Amino acid sequence: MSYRYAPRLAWQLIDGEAVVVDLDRSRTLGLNRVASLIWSFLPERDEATIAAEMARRFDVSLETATSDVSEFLRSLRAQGLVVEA
Amino acid sequence: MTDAGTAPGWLRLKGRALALAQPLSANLELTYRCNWRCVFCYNPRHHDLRGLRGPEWIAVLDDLRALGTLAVALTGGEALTHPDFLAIARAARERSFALRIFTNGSLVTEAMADALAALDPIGVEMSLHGASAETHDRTTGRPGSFDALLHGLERLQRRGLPLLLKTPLTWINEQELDAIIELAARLNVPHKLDATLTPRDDGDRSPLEYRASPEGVERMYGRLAERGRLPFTERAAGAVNCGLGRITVAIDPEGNVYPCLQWKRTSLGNVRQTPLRDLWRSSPERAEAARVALAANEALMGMGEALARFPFCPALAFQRTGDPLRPDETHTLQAETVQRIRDP
Repeated sequence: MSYRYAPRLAWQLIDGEAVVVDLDRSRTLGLNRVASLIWSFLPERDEATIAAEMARRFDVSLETATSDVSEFLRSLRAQGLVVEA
Repeated sequence: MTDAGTAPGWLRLKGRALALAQPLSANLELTYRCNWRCVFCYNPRHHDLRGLRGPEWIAVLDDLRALGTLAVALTGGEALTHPDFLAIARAARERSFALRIFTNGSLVTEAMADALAALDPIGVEMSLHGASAETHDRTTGRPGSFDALLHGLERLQRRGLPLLLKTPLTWINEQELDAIIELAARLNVPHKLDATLTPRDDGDRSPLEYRASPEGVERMYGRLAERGRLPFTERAAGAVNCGLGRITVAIDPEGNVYPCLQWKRTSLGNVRQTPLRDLWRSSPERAEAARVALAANEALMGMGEALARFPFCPALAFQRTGDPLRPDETHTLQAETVQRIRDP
């Protein structure tokens, strides 16, 4: 599955941490470094490709990475921060 | 999730951006053109000599994205008079910038209000120069500008846009201070007051002739105190005075790059000759401005409590005194006024 950023957002990376301004809910969120990496991959890579990249970078099993990435992206979708591409 | 949404969290990330010289905030002066002629405007009185076109501004936006900018403000002149305003604004949002728009409101037709609403700006800021058409129009030099502002504001308000009214205090409008505050409250729009006027960017000091009286300034700070909004800055040894040369960048209508909207004494270069991302990273002028921000903090800490606690702008100090570390009499008067109100 692929996701893209929700349209009513502004965001930027500061020293590897994503700051996300949610214009719909008038709130600012911060993502930790691992979450920010996944976030920055979003526009160009699908969920499976991101999981494979995270498994490689953090030396975890593909199964673990797939589960973690999937859970994180579901959480972002539930919060309205990403939509299915 | 992290603490970026909290004040301490944001300060932590801002501190990282300051250390990295990541320009979080960019002011793009799209044009000098304006349909108003505000008596104290700091822009030079000429029109754009060779203004950047839409595609050139969009290339600037690409570089800002790469440099780590989060917020982009489109200003002028009157930003809406740039023929490519909407294309530039849309490009900013397509690049996920938080977008702020400064406008006098007079060109906000129903169609423009729809277009602005579709941009999801985090703010639309407009100037209110008086509580009456007579005072407002006298300041803008344009009969009908007061009504035009209110109509534009109403169109934006109907669409739920986040608005801010700003009033620069002058001797022209200081007698209407309370009425201006009441008008903003009646319109249900957040309102900001400021007594700072600056010379024009070309050195012309005539805008300073419109400064409010000391009594008017004191009354303004009194009203701010009643709302718990007296200006205040906290200083620490080794910290910087402001984001000058580190987290702010400004580009004028002709593509000249500056380390802050007010700091026009030295340009980092022009985006037509060198890409913005290269100018920002390699400019000795930017590094020098960043050093001034550090030195200004240290200088102000040694000038007594009133000046140390009052926000200071090295760019304005340079314009007024020729020394970016030396506050002028007006600044000192304001700082002492605020101190007296805070600690009577």
